[in-house]
Amino acid sequence: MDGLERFLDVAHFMAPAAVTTLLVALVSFPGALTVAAIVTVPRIHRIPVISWLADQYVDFVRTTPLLLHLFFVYFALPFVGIRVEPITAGVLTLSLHVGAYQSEVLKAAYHAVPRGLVEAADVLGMSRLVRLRRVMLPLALRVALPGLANSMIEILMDTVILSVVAVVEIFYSRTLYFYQFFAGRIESLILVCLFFVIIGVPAGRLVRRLERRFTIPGSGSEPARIL
Amino acid sequence: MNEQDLQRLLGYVPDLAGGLFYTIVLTPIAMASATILGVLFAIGLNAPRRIIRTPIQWFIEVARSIPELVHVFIWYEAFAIMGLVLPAIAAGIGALTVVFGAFLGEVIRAGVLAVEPTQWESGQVLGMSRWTIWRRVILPQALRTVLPVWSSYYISMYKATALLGLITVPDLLFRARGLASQNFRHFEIYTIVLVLYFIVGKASLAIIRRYERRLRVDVPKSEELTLLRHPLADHT
Repeated sequence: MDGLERFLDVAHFMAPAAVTTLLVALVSFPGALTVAAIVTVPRIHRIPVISWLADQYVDFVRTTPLLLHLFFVYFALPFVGIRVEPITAGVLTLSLHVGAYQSEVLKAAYHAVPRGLVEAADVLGMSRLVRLRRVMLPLALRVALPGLANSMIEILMDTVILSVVAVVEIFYSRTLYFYQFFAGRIESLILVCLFFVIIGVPAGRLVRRLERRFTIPGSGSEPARIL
Repeated sequence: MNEQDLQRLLGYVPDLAGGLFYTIVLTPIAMASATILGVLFAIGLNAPRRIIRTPIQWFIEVARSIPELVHVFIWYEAFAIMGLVLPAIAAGIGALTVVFGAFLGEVIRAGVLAVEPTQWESGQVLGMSRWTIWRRVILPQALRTVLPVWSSYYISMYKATALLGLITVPDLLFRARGLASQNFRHFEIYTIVLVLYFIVGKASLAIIRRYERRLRVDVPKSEELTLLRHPLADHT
C-alpha cells in the first residue's frame, strides 16, 4: 500500500472512533455543567462547611492532573467496590474535571451582575423569578457564554486522555490500527491532528468572536463598573 | 495501622520521592522554555511585516487546537519515525514548550499591546535600538501585566507534566503506575499520589501568588487584554 491509499485506509479505520470522540465530548458537556451548577451554588451563597468543601474541590481539580483523576476512577475505585466501564469512567472524569473549571466561569458571571441592578429589580417589586429571568440571567449568560463555549473545546481536546483506559476514541484507534497492520503511524497521527485542527481552529475563532461581541462595553475586567 | 502497613508505606517513599522530584523540576524548566518561545512569538506577532506575522498566527492557532497528549506523541513517536530520536524527557519538554509557547505568545502579545505606545517613542528618542527597547522597556512591563494569566498557565503546565509519565519519563504518575502494578494496591497508591499533587500544586500556587503581588503593576486594562485573558483563569 502506498501513500494515498494508506492514508485513506487509515482514515476509513479511524472514522468510527472520531464519532466516538465527538459523542464522548457531547455527553460530557451537560455532565460538566451539572457538576458546575452543583458546585457553584455553595460558592456563591456562603454556607458554612459546604462552601469550603466546594472551594476545596475546585482547587483540587485545578492542581491535580486529569490523567490521574482518570486512573483513580478507573483503576482505584474498583478496589472500594465502584466498578465502571472505561467510557463511563472517562465521561465521569471529564465531567468532574471540566465542571470545576466551568464553576469558575459561572461564579465570575454571577459576580458580573452588579448589586445595584439586583436591588433596583427588588425596588421595582419584581419577584425572584422575574428578577432572575429579566435582570440577572441576561447579563450573567452574556459573561458566561464565551467561557462555556471554550470549555466545550477543552472537553473535546481532553477526550484523547481516554485512550489510556482503552476507550476506542480517535487517539486509541491509531494504536489499534498499528497493532493490526504494523503501519500507518505517521498517517494516523496526521489525521488525528487534522481532526482537531479542522474542529478546533474555527471553534476557537468563534469563541473569540463571542467574547468580542458579548463583552459588556466599558466593563473591562471589572464588571462592577457597568453602571 | 499495624507494623506491616507502615513497612509497606515506607517502601513507597524512595519511588514517590524520585517521582516527585521529576514532577517538581519539570514544571519550571518547561515553563521557562515555553515563556521564552512565547516572548519570541509575541515579538514576531508584533512585526511590521505580514510575512512574519501570518505564519506565526497560523502556527499558534494550529498548535493550540491540538491536544497536549498528541503534541507529546508527535515529539516522541513521529519524530523518532522520521529519524530524530529524542530522549523521552527532551521530547516531553519540547512538546509542552510548543503548546504552552503558543498560548503564552498570544497572552504576551496582549500584554505588549497594553504598554503605552509613548513608551516606544520615548525609547527611540533616547536613541535605543529596536531590540533594546523590547528588552528594557516593553517586555518588562508586558510580562508584569500578564503575570496573573501566566501563573494560571504555570499551574496548567504543572498538571500537563503528568502526560510525560505516559512516555516513560519517571515522574510521580509513572512511579504510581509502577508501584500499583507491583502490589495491586491501586486505591492506596493513587490516593497518596493525588494528595501529593494537591499539596505541591497548592504550595506552588501560594508561592507564585506571593511573587505576583510583589511584582504587580497597575496598567490601564486595554480591551485587547481582557479579550485574551485565559478563558479558564481564576477570577479571584
